[in-house]
Amino acid sequence: MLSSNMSKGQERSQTIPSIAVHGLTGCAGELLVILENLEQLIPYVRVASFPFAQSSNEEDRPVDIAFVEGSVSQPHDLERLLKIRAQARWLVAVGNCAVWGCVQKGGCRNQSTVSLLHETYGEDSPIECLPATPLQDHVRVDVKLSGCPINATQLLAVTASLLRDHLPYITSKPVCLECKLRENACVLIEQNLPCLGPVTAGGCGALCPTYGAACYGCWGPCEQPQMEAMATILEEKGYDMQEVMSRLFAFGAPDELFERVKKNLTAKS
Amino acid sequence: MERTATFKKDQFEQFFCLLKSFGKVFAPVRVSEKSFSFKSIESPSQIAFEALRTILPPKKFFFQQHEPILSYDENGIHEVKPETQQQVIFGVHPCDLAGLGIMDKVYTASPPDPHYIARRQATMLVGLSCMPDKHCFCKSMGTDSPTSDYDLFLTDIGDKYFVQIHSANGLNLIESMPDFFSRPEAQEDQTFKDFWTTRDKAFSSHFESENLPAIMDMEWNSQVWDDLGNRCLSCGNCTPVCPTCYCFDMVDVASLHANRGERVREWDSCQFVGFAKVAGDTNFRPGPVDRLKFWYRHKLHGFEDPHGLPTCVGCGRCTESCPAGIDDIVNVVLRLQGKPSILVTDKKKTQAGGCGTSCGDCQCDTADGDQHA
Amino acid sequence: MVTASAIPQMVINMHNHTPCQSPFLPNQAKLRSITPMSQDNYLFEFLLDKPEEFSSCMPGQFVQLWLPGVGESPISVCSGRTDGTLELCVRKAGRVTGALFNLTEGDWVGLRGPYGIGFPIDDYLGKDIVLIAGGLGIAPIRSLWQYLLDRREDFGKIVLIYGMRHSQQLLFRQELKLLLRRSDMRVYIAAEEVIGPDLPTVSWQLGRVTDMIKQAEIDPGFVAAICGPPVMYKYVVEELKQKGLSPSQIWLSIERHMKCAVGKCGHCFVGGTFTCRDGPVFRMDSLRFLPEVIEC
Repeated sequence: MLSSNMSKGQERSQTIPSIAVHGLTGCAGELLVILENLEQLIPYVRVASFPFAQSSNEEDRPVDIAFVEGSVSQPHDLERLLKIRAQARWLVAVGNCAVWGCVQKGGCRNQSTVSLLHETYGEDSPIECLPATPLQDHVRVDVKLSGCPINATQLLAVTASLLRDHLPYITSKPVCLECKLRENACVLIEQNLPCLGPVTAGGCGALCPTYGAACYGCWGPCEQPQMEAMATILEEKGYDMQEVMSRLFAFGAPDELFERVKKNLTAKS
Repeated sequence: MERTATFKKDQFEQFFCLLKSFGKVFAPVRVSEKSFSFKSIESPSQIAFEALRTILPPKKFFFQQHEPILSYDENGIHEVKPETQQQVIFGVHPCDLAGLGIMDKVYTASPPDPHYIARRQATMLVGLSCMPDKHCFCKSMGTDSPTSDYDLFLTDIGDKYFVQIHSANGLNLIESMPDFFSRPEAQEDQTFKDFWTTRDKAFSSHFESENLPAIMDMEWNSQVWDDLGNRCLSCGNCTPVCPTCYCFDMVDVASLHANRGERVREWDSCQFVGFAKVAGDTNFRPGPVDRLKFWYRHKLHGFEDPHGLPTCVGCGRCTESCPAGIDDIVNVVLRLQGKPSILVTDKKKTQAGGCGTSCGDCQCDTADGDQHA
Repeated sequence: MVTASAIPQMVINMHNHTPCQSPFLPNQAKLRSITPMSQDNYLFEFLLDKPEEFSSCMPGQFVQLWLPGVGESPISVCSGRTDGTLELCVRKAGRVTGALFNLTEGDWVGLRGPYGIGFPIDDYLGKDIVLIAGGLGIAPIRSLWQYLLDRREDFGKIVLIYGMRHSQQLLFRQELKLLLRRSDMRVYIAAEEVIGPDLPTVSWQLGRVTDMIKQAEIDPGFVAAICGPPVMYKYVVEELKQKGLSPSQIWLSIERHMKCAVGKCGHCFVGGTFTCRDGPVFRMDSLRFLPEVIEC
C-alpha cells in the first residue's frame, strides 16, 4: 500500500539517484566511513564522483546528493564548494570540519592565519590559506551531519531520507544521554575528569566515557549547550579557566557562542 | 497474598537456582568504584548485595531505552510485538518497587501499553532490604516499605533472609522447594521488626512531605529555581536515572530499501531544549531554569491527572548523578519550606564572600544554616 | 513494618491486564485532494480507510498524521463533518509537514485519532458564540463553524473574528465569502498589513483581532472559542473581559507538541496536565491555577 509514495523519487528522475563525495580540508575520516559503507549504498545510488576512492569522476554534472567533508581553509576549497553547491540538489556537510570547522577553527581562534601559515610553512611559502570555516559560512547546507568521524548508521539514515526527498531527523541531544543509557559510571562526577559530555552532541554512543576517558567534544556542541554552566562546574573542580575555554571550543563552535561565553565568564569573574 | 518464610543466607546458591528456574536473572553488579548496574548474571558471586542504587533504575527492563513500535513495508503497517523473556529482577529496593508502581500506573492507564505490560508480566520482582545512605529519602516520600506489584521481598535478618511472599508467582516458586524454606520463628519475626525499626531511624535526610504540592505551587516563582537553573547543564542525566521518568520520543528510522522502515520509541528528557518546542520554533520552556523547575514540579507536585501523585520515590539517584549538584531534592524542599538547608548555590556565594552576618540580604551560610527570605 | 505513608499508593495488579493492541498503530488514509490556500498553507483532504474510527470527531480535536519514514505530527481537524473524509489545513513548517507537501493525490499516509477534548458543544447549545481565530488557528475554528452551521437552529448568535499578520495569509477565502453573505452570522476579518497588488475579494479591515472584538456586538452572555498563536491569548482574553465575559465563558485551544497523543510521552505537559488528553481545548478558568500555560 505504501509503494505509491515510496518509489516516487525514483519515478520522477527515471534513473538511479547519483551521489558525489568530496573532501575539502580535513583528515578524510568521513570519506573513509563513506567508503566503508559504500557497499550498502551502491544498490540505491550511482557514485558520480568520489575522487578519494575512484579515478573516473564526473565533473560539471548535476548530482542528487553531495557529501562534503572538511572545512574551507584554502581559496581552492571555496571554489570547489561553490561549484559543488551549484550542482547538488542536496548538500550534506559530513563531519565536524564541515559542520563546525573542527580544530583548525576552534583551536586556532587566538592566532592569525598569516602567523600560522608562516610558522608552519615558512614566510615565503606559496601556500594560500584562509581562516578555517565550516561550509555553512559560505553556502546553503541542507543537512549537517557532525561526527569525528561520522556515525555510519546516521549516514545511511540521512541518505535514506534524502533519497525519498525529505530532510532527515538528526538528534543533537548531549553525549550524557547516550552515556547514561550505556550505564557508564560518570567520569565527570566520579573521577573529576573534564568531561564535556553535557555540552557535546551525541551520536558517537559516548565512546570515550565508555572507556573511562573524558569526552573532549569532538562532535561539536549539542543543541543550545550550557557552556557557561559547564565552565563554572569545571572551574569548581579546579580546572584553570583558560584551559576550560580552550577545551570547550577546541572542536569548533559558532563564533557568536564563543563570544557570548567569553563575555559572560569575564563578567562573572 | 502475604505470607512469610525464611531461608539461610549460606544457602543462597540454592535460592539463586530457584530464581533461575523461573527465568534469566538480573541483579545489581558493580561497574565502578561507586556505581552499580542491573545486569544479567550467572552466579550469585556476581551480585553486589551492598548496592544501594544502580545507575539506571529497573524501569529499563519494561520501558526500554530504544524499542521498535511499528514497522512498515510493501504490505502495509505492522505492529512490532514486544520480545519478552521470562526474567527475574533480583535486589530491587523499596524505592524502586514504588517507582515501578508509578510506571505501572502510567503504562496501564488507558490506552494501555502492550510492550510495557508484556515485559512486566514475564518478570518476577524480588526485592531486597537496604540501609539508607545520606542521599536516601524514601521515608520522606512514603516509599520506604515494599509496595507495588512485586513477587518476593527479602529482608536481611543476620544469617537468614526473611521472605515476604506477595504474589501467586512468588508463592508457586517458594512452594516448588518447600523443604528449603522455613516458617519464621518468633525470634525471627522480632529480628525482622527490629530491622525495620533500626532502618527507620537510620535516615539522615528527611523532610515533611504532607504539604509538598502546596509548597511547589506557592514557590513556582522562587529565586531558588533561578539560582539552580543557572547552573544547570541541561545534560538530562536526572531523567534517565529517575525510576519514574517515563517521557519518550518517537522517531522514524527509514531504511535505504525504498518501502521499509521502523518507528522507534526512545527515552527522552524534559531537560533537553527541544522537548517543548512546537512548530515555528516556539519553545514553551526555552531556558534551563524553566525546564529544571518543570521537572521538580513533576517529581514533587505531581500532575492534576488520574495518576495524581508526586512521582519522586526518594531514591537519591538524581542527587548523585547531577554533575552540577542541583538535583539536591532534600535541601531544595527544605529551602522551599523555609527550613534550615544548604544548597550548592549557597556555598558558591559564601566562597565569593557572603557578608558573614545575618543581614537578611544575602544567602550566606549563617550559623543555623537557615535561609534568608 | 514501620512506614511513614505520606502519599497513598494504589497498587496496580499487573497480571490483570490482557494483551492489547498498540495505541500507536495508525489507520491508513488516502490523500484525495490538495488545495493550495496560501503560499505555504494547503488544505489536504484524506479518504479514510476506517471512517467509523473518526466519525465521532468533534471540532477542536486533533489527529496524528504519520508519513512513514519521516515522522508524525499533530494536526487539528479542520472539517466539521468527518464521515468518510477528513480535512487538514497544514502549514509547511517542519520535516513532516514539508514531506506532506511533496505528496500527490493517491498517496497514502497514516492517521490515528481523533484525540483530545474539543470545544464543548453541549455547553454552547442555545448560547451566543464568538469564534476567534488568529492565523492558522482558523483550522480548528473552521471545524467549529461548520459544525455549528450544520445545526444552526441549536445555537444563538454566531460571530466570527479572524485576524492575521499579512493579507496574503488569508485562508478559506471562498468559504469566507459565503459566510460573509449569510444573514445568520457576523464575520469580521482583519489583517495587520495588506500586502500585494491583488486586492482580496473579501471585505476586511486593517487591524488586529482585538480591534475587531472591540467593534463586534458581543454581550456579556456570549461564550468564546479561541485559537491562535500563543502571544494572542493574553490580549484577546483581556478584550473579552472588557466585554463582560468571565473566564468560565472562554475556551482556548492550547498549542503544544503532542508526540504520543495518548497521555504518556510527556511532550505536551503543561502546568501539570496532558494537553493531548485533557485539552487541547481548555476552559479559561481551569487554567488559572496551572503555571506556564499562558500569561494572562
